[in-house]
Amino acid sequence: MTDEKKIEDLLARMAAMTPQPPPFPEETTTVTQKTPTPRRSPALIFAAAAIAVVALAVPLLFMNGDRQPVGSGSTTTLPQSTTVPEPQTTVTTAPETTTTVPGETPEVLATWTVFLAQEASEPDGRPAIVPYTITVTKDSGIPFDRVDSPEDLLVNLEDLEVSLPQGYFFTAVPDAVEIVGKKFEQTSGGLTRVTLDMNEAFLQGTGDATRDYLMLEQLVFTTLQNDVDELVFTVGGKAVTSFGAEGIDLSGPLGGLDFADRINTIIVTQPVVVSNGTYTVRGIANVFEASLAYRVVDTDIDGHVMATCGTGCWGEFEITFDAPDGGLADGAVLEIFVHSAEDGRPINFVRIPLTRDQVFELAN
Amino acid sequence: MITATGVMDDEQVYRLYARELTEYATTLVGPFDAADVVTEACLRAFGSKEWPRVTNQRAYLYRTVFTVANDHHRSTLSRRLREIRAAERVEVAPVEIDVDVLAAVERLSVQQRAAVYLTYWADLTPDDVAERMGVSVGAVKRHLARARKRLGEWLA
Repeated sequence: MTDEKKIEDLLARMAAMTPQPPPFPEETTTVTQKTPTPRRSPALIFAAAAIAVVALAVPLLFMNGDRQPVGSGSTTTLPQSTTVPEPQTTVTTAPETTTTVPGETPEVLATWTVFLAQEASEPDGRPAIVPYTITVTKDSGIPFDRVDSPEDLLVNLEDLEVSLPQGYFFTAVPDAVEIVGKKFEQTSGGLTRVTLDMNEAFLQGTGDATRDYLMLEQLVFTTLQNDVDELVFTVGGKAVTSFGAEGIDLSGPLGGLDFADRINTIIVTQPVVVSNGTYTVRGIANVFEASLAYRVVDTDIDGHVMATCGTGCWGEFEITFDAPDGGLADGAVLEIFVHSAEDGRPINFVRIPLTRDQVFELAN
Repeated sequence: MITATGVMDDEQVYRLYARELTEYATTLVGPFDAADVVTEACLRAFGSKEWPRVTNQRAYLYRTVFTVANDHHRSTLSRRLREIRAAERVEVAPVEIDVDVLAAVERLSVQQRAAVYLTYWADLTPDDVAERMGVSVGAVKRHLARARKRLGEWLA
């Protein structure tokens, strides 16, 4: 049988699973066309649904098999209902998305969240990874047809001429590194595993041990979004037994925490969301006494939160704060940090820009 | 209903294309979410300012289904597949679901699925495929080439 026939056979079998068409969406059209104010960016609307999935999937991401669970109790409950959002749920996008029809400007082609790197905030500190959302529109100059996934975008940032905010972000993934193949599979344990087959340049890493871990965590966190549970790297289809300057063995499947202790141990795991003027930032941390501090630069917003575990174990944290009257300036920056156990000075900063394109507004 | 001007109203357009759009959506996001994608796409299309001026409504609807499906990304199908496999272990999986096919299609991006479906199933020319996906002809060819590569085991 030729390839064409085999593809047609595949499509025929797929078509055989086609359900009955849904009824004409007459009743909901009325609701949809209402399009209430305030106007929201299509990018934010698209991202809201993605965030909902990510938010529900993150606990899953960190409880793979025999991996160390995050925190004490909160990772024992799996999200069960991320499938069909009802129109009245808080992250439902249908009533608003009539603004994102083909041909309108800007037409959002995709919204990807990749994990970028931040330099250490002090000489003896460690660099961090932070989520950064890239919205691809027809006008963004990013050739959408060349990227299939967040990890594709991450390894092609330079090729695709994606401009990153100066001073905050960079990528530790060398430009020569490429993903040459990708495979999805279900493990016997019911996990979704992605295998990324990399080119030879991957094996060299960055040339620096710390940056190697940074590069790995960028790739791992970027890939392990949504329902992907674990990641395996191969080169030429073979397991990677020696990576980078320290010859790291990557032959086994990776979760999110395998090398997380080698970088800044404050990791914001998903984009910032805002609802009714309340900002929410979620992440994981392994910090002294599980205590984290935060502040929004040039405002009086600051405070402390506790992770669900600390001083040697990873816990989840959530920071919430209300926007001041009149809202935050578009260039506002959230800083999350810890106080040194030795002298109390603030260290290990993670800086999150609260710009309009990085904060996602959830429907009320 | 046909209106006095001879132009189909939205409901008639929908009834005309709902089945093929659902089939298209099934290829893009799987059978579980196809209906939702079609509903969402039609809501967007019929509610858009452009809709009254659209000359090729069929192509426009295909393009909107593609846009909505793209937002679903890979997560939904992946999760559903896992759910089905879990269900199989207790022998309650629906018999009409072809897990092998879903697993094969899951290897493809939404763009690749769209290109494959429109080329091999709808028998469209590269120009028409490009129009319905809202991409260039070159992009369609790249998607097809990559799709063939990713379907390697299936084609072997």
